[in-house]
Amino acid sequence: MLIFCSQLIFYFLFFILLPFPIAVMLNRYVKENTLFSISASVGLALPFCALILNYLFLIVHPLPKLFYLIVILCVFGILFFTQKKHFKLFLHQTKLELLALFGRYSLVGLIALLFFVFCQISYSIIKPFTEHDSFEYAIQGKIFAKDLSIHYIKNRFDTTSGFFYVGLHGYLYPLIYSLENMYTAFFSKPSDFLFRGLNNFYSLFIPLLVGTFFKNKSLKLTLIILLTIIFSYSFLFTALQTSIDHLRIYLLLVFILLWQENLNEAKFAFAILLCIILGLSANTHSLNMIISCFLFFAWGILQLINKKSFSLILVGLGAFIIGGAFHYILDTFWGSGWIFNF
Amino acid sequence: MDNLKKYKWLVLFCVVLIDCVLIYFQNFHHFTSTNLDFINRGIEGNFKLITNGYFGVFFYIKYFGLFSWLILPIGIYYARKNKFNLLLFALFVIIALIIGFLGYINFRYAYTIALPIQLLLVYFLFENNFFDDKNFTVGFVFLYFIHFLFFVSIDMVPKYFNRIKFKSKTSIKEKNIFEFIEDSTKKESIFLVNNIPQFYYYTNRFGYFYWCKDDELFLKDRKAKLFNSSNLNSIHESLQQLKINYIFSDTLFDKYSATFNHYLKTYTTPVYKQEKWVVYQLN
Repeated sequence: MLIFCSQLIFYFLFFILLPFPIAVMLNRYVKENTLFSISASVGLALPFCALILNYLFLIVHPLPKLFYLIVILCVFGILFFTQKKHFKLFLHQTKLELLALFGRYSLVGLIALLFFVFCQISYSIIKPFTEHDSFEYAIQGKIFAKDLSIHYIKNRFDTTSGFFYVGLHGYLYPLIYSLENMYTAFFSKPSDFLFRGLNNFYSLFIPLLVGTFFKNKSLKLTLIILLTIIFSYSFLFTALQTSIDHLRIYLLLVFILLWQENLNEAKFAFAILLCIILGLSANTHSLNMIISCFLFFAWGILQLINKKSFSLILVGLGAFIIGGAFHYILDTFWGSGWIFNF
Repeated sequence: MDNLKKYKWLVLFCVVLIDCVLIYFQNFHHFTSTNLDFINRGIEGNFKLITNGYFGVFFYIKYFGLFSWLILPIGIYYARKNKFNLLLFALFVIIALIIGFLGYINFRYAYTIALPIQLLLVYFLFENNFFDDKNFTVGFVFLYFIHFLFFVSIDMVPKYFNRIKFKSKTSIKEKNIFEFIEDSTKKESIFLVNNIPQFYYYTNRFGYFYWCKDDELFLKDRKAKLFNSSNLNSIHESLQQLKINYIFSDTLFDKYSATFNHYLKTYTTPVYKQEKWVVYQLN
């Protein structure tokens, strides 16, 4: 029961409370689609927390576990404070959109969604941990949570267990594990329920994201797209595994859809936000890093075509690197050599 | 745009026809191959290597659906409409080809880009007014559904029932392999772990990480080749120098390296087996 309650608080914190200021911030750049801002931010807080942890483990280490969790909460506290004046409008818009979409069935929809989340939590507690790569991330996450530090070295060999982290990817997944491990250690024995169920959550977020994005274009299109996603064997296959591919696909989709929503937006704040999301996506996997580089290139080209200032692209590049691409730079020059190490 | 719309039934007919051919060759035709890894990953034989591997994003029917390949003709036609669509389409195709040629081995890599491509395709079809016709829309979704049911029933359901059958047979009175490692081996025992990261997650024993397919042993300061010699005696000595007492491996992985497999049969004794995992003790 204690485990279940601690998990509930954890999910509330990372999937509802912390995404809230991000949703308010995104909503300023999304035209008349608050529900899209919500579904785009609901899965962003957790990777963002992992990114903060990444910097803390790199720069200030090792300090008591509580310190890292407090710093993360403080960062979100500041974000919360800066967005405070937009809360009222955001909540009002959300209510209106929900009413317009579901009418008097809004409450039924909300209860159905909560029931689905409850099932997800229960399933993540009972489902076995099976997938090879997820184990590698989890073990590396365990090592980070034990050492409370990250060092870039050529051979990532753990002298206590003999484990060698063969993955060349960013540390976002391992750090999500570390975060859960550190948090649950305060309640009971460290657990991995969130990490095991992570893919299930993001399997829910992807249709939500896509559905809310297309709903303003056409409900028919939204329905067809949702059906094609749900009736796709790869989606079901990935959703049922512990494999965490849906998180990285979700981050890529958030970038693409948000960019499409604001093709001509030239504000620096939006460029920073967009490129940080792209950086987070890059930090998940080397493949995402390669795809993100292409997407960043395309984004930059489009800014030039639209005669936007070059400094916007430079700021975007900085945000992309800070958002997660920095791992590959550090790893190439001071670590394993990334993909250039033959 | 209406020019394209009038061919919608022809498009659907082509989808069904081409997909029938692909489904047959990708799932029911037997291709001979000696590459075990390719067989396990469903890319044995040139046809499967090309359609499931290099161009998997567009033609791997089982995972990416019946319509994925349609993005190429429809996308080319539609992408001329505006700069963003052209850029996005060109970008996706380039990325899909790069992933295909570098990461053809694992369908999950292609899946990263396959989902956005699927969305793009439906969006393009919608923009071309394909879904104005109710019958076409129903047919389109129905084909998706039938395809989904087909692969769930031939691929996922048998695997699920096999797992249940196996669990009901083996779970009674049998100790978990990790409990065996923790309880029945000495604390100072050293393992050679053949690419099973679960070992580190569930046990507190020390194990050198090894991957027999590439013959890579991961040591503190370097990577080393362990089975590059055909002399099994010298390999045995090397393992003894590293003070390795046990080898933890997977029977499926063992087959990737003939020398490793031969060594296991000659110089070790299996002491515990669970499903495909085996703990071997060095003689």
